[in-house]
Amino acid sequence: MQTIKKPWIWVAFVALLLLGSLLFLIFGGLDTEQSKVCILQNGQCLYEIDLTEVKEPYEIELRSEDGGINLIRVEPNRICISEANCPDQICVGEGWLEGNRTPIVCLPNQTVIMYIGD
Amino acid sequence: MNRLNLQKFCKLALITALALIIFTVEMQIPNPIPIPGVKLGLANIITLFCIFCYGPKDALYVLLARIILGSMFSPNPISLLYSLSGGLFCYCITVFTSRVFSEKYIWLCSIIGAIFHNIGQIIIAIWLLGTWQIVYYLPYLMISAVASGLFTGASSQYVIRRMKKSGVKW
Repeated sequence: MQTIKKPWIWVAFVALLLLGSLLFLIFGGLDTEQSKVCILQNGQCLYEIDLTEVKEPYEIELRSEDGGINLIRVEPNRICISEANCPDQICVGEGWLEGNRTPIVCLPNQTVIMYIGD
Repeated sequence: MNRLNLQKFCKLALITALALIIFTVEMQIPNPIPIPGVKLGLANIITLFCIFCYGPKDALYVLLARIILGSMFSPNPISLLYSLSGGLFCYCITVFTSRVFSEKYIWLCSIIGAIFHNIGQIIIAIWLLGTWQIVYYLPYLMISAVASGLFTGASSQYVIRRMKKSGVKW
């Protein structure tokens, strides 16, 4: 294989990818108007909640087969994982899911909270 | 096993130990960015070093040994699958880029490797979590890949250049 001395096409490719991702995020490419969320564990939808119909805040305790616990807080128009027993605590740090397509994910407990279409 | 092989074997074992130390130390650093999959990936410095100084075959041994042993130090067993998929994706593309780019562009190899590492992790996450919506993490993970890839790549390039300059027989 021939050695490329000046791989500027690859640099441009990386730069474009970076710029594209940044612009996509800045211009709200991940915003959504959907109101129904689904709580998944191990690929199965356990709860389906319409966030616009929530009047009083409440909590759901989700226990996985191998002892993982996620405490999910549901409030009008928003939802989050308020407590978890996973080692990295990233799911708690992700904060509220509120009009954003990026799902809340807890990798160790295999839990996902995401918007679904009507 | 002849003498030369034994010497190389010992060196690779030493390098694997080094990679493991970096891997476990990085696990202790609290992650300031709460996005699953975002990390520095400092152990990639060793993988790059191996590919450029020993060749793809030995690098694969070091990589696999580091991932399998590293998962034993990890608090959750499922992380083995994520490390393995990301690591192998990154490895495959880096073997290719290390052949077409000169040693001045190790940082670029590292960035491209990091991008593929994160794509591999997203694919395995879609499969494990059972929803394609994980793909919405892609823009975040691309930005993090470019940043962390640049850092580990630059570190690796510096190490390799220093090693070659010092004349130490590696």
